[in-house]
Amino acid sequence: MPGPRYISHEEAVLESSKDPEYRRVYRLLKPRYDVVKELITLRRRQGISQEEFARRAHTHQSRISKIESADQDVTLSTLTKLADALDADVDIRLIPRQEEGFFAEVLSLCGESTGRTWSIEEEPVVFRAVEELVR
Amino acid sequence: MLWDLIYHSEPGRSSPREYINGLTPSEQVHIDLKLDVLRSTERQDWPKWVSPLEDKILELRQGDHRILFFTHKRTMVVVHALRKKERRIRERDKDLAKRRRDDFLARS
Repeated sequence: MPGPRYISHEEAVLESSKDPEYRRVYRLLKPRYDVVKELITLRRRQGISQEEFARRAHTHQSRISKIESADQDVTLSTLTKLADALDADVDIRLIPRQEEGFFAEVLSLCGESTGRTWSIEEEPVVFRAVEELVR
Repeated sequence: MLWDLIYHSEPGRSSPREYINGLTPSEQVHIDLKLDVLRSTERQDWPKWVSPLEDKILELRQGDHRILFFTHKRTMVVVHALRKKERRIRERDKDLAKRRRDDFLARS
């Protein structure tokens, strides 16, 4: 009898991304989790605890814990204050959605480097891969 | 550096990913993005929505749903997903997760 096999997260998300509603919600929620990733990464890189981070940002550790848990949306002014506590600046960009132009080009580049065709449904996977490359 | 993230799957049984795929898009995306946060940040302190269960099995919470996983080297392995109806996770669900974890470790 065949044993278990393992599916990668990339494959799994690819499957889910075929649903337009999944892609719509993904776009809405991703920035919130991106903020969380940025804050945790920078805090840890500086080797400081949530308590120390809270002290520097003049807030409570429980608030930092909530923010790092993506429990609540962070306002721009709070984000600026948190960034300042980490001696960092906030960089905001609004990227026009150009699925037929820019994104098609990205997918085409992915196709060239991987030797297979990428579809629009694969956007979250491609975005994640690009993010990882530039990190 | 991003950790690998994989889902257990075995013939004839519903896999944790199939369970996740059966949820609403919002729940699916929350789970996927939470898993993404875990795999992209070197953690010692888990976020509020993750708790150690027992025997190094971890529990990710999203509403009523629970994702059971463990980490091995730089890989996160999702071994079980369930809807938690009671206050505590049933022993048989924990045992299933541990059995799948042990099987993975025996093969790796």
